[in-house]
Amino acid sequence: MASLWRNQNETSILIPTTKEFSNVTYYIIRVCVGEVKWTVKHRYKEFFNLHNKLVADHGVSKDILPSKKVIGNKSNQFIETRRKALEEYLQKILIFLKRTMPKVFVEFLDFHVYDIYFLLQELTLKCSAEIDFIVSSTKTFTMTPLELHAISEFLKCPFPEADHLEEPLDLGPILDMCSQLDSLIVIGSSNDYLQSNIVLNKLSFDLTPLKIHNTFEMKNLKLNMINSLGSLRTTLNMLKVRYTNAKSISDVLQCDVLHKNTLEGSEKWVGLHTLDLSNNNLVEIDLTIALAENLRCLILNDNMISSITNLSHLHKLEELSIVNNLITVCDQLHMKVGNIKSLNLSQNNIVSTKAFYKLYSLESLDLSCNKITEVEELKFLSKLPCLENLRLTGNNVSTIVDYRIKVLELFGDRAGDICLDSEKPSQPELDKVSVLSALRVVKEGKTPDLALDKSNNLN
Amino acid sequence: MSAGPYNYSYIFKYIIIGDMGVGKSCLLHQFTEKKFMADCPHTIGVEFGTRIIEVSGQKIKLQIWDTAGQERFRAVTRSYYRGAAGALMVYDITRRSTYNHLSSWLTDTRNLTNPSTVIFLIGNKCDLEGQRDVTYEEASKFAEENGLLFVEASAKTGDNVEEAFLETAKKIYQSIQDGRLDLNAAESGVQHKPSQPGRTNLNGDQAGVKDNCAC
Ligand SMILES: Nc1nc2c(ncn2[C@@H]2O[C@H](COP(=O)(O)OP(=O)(O)OP(=O)(O)O)[C@@H](O)[C@H]2O)c(=O)[nH]1
Ligand SMILES: [Mg+2]
Repeated sequence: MASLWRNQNETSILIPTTKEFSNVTYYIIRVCVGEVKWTVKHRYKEFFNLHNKLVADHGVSKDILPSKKVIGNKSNQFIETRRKALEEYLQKILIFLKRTMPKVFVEFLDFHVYDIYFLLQELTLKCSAEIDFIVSSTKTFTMTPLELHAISEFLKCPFPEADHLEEPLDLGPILDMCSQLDSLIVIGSSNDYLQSNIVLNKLSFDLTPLKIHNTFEMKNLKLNMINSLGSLRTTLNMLKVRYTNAKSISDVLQCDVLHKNTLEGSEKWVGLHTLDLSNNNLVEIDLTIALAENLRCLILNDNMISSITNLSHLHKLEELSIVNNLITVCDQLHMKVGNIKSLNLSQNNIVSTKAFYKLYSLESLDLSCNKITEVEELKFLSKLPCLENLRLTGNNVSTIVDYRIKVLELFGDRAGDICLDSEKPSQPELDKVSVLSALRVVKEGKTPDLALDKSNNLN
Repeated sequence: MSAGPYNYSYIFKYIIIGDMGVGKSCLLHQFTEKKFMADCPHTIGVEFGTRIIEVSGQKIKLQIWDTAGQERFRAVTRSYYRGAAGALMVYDITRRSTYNHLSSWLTDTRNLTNPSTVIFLIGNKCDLEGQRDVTYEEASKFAEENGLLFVEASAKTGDNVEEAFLETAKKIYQSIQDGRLDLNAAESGVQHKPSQPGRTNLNGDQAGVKDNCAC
């Protein structure tokens, strides 16, 4: 991460080449600040405009910019001469302005994109301008690890070199806005950042100065670069950690814990009601999930989990989603998850519904895109009293003749309550279901099952 | 025929809790089937039963979650307290230990349900008078001190079983009537089901007036 103030003497500017885009010659400027390098491209006209402003407002002498030439400015030799002259020009200007760094110059060289100090200046302006809108609407703000890193660095050690500036940097507006947010989103990347050699995911940052109250969401990050994620333990309601290098739940919930094989009360995420750990490399639901004892919703989509474990201590869990994992068998689920209302196991390798037969609280079950081939394997769902939504598309079973009728028939009197594959049964379907059940009764020589009616008449 | 209008206007959710072997499953069976199940196996995790009853002319469907008393299921059965409108807390009058554990069951119930949940204490197996280990007076005092409803019952003979389930429902219904229980609260354990589409049975005054009035 670049810092001009800390690398005054290791800062240089070159114009190594030029490039033509739609008939216009651009000069490719290479800025180096210590280890950090980036490029910016400008055409002559932009140099010219910059120069005029610098002359007018910042006392730069008028004659140092190579002059305009209207005719013959396409020849290679001319361009080469001009390239050298512009390079010298920028170098001169830098020496002259490096103490004051006027905004036009900062922006001309993209310091406001890559340099800690100037980037924060930019962010401060943005926060001041948008705070009212954000706080009165979504209360959501997205930042890059670069910005967060800059905040951490600045708070660790401010820049005395910049104190003489007309408007020295003040983080007030940023911290003020963050303290009023509901939700902070951080999106990283492992590639080079824009036109620089900065890699976002190699930048560490600290979350303590930001008081995040409700939701923290991160995507495409390396967890080890975040210091004090644990500081959010008491305040956070919703945590989304997606596309990271997390291999276990412990990597997230015990990110700051040294001895991970024991669970301490102080490590609990007391306020957390939603945890989304989709798109990581989780292979199991490990014991540490118990640290989020108040979870109502757990989302573990797109991992490599093969069984449902360690959830029995989450008494408040209502919604569980483990889409696109490696679940083949799930055994006796009612002994593992108890009172859940919504279960999404779409895109796994499940062949039977046997494991669900006592999930009596289940209202919604998504088993789409699994390996269920027989209607017979669905009969275990027929006694679930609260089931209202059932999805089975993408299983072989959904391609058999009269699939909907056969599945609906399993539910007997409740067939009309079941929304199958997002579609309520039509009246003709329900009529067919009644006929089928009546036929079955005759065939099996039994009187219709009166369990329900009986209970009605008990009084 | 389609499911059409519901033939009940409320759903109340109950849980039955208490030590293993006190007769929870037998009580449920007696209530839903009117039979004593002498050789009932331990409940694994949870069982479920329903029955439609009538309180003040309103049809109410009871959804009853019968939890396992064995310690090893305690973690998973705790999740069922959530959203229960009624909790039947059972002990066995012939086994003192099951009575002694009531305070811990009560703590769980208070912590995991909402304030409007009706808790009913049942001293089961009262047919076994000769083996009694807990006196009626003692349990009755405990119930009073903790604001619980209380009866002694027998899942075997059926004594007081009906009463326990019905009294609980009456109490819940009362709470709805006088607004102590908010139907719209997420975890109230009560659902209102209008018995005819497009027409809502509002309140108690309406109770008992049958739907098919010909005006
Ligand atoms: N004499 C007598 N025996 C009863 C009564 N209720 C239950 N039992 C017997 O007590 C034993 C346990 O009853 P269950 O209903 O299975 O007990 P439980 O509370 O459901 O036990 P768990 O499922 O393990 O928690 C059974 O053998 C029943 O026959 C009763 O009222 N009187
Ligand atoms: Mg039982």
